[in-house]
Amino acid sequence: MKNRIRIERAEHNISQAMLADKVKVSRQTIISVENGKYIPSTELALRLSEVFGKTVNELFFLEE
Amino acid sequence: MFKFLFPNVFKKIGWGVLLSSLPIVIVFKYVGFSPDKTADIGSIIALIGFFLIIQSAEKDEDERIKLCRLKAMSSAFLTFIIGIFVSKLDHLFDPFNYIFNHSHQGGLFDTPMGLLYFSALFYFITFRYSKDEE
Repeated sequence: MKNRIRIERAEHNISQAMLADKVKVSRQTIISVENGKYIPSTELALRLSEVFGKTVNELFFLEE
Repeated sequence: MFKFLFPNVFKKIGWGVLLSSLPIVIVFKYVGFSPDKTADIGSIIALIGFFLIIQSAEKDEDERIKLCRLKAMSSAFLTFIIGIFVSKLDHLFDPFNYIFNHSHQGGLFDTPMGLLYFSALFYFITFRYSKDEE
């Protein structure tokens, strides 16, 4: 599964630490999600989509 | 299971308790306790230490850490099961039992304490590896 978290973060000019703070997880978790090593729970995906103002489908998508 | 977790400081206390079981067993042995009683006391102390390690929160506790804890728990459980299996293969690993019981009966995995030590070690390795994986 791929995601656009890093791109969205750059567009919104938010650091990993700031994003982690907003969605109430550790920075390590944000790094893991960005690198595709950890697939977040539905709850975290929804919180991330809320921060970036995008749907979950726009942030996370399956690889072709 | 992980809904209630002790504060982070209990993790250090847990490791202290777990590692202290070894010197306590040595002291008890030289004081004159029977080997069975000494092994039981050591196992209980090691078990308490292991429980505190597993049930203590990390500094940055979140959903990923919960997953790491689950992975580590399954790894520790698997180690325990393999340990029981290996304990049936007598005389292959006997230095631990030889040191404490001066006997070649059984082996390293034949004592509950040895099993707990190995399970804790695998728990720690898996947890660290999962946690630091980026």
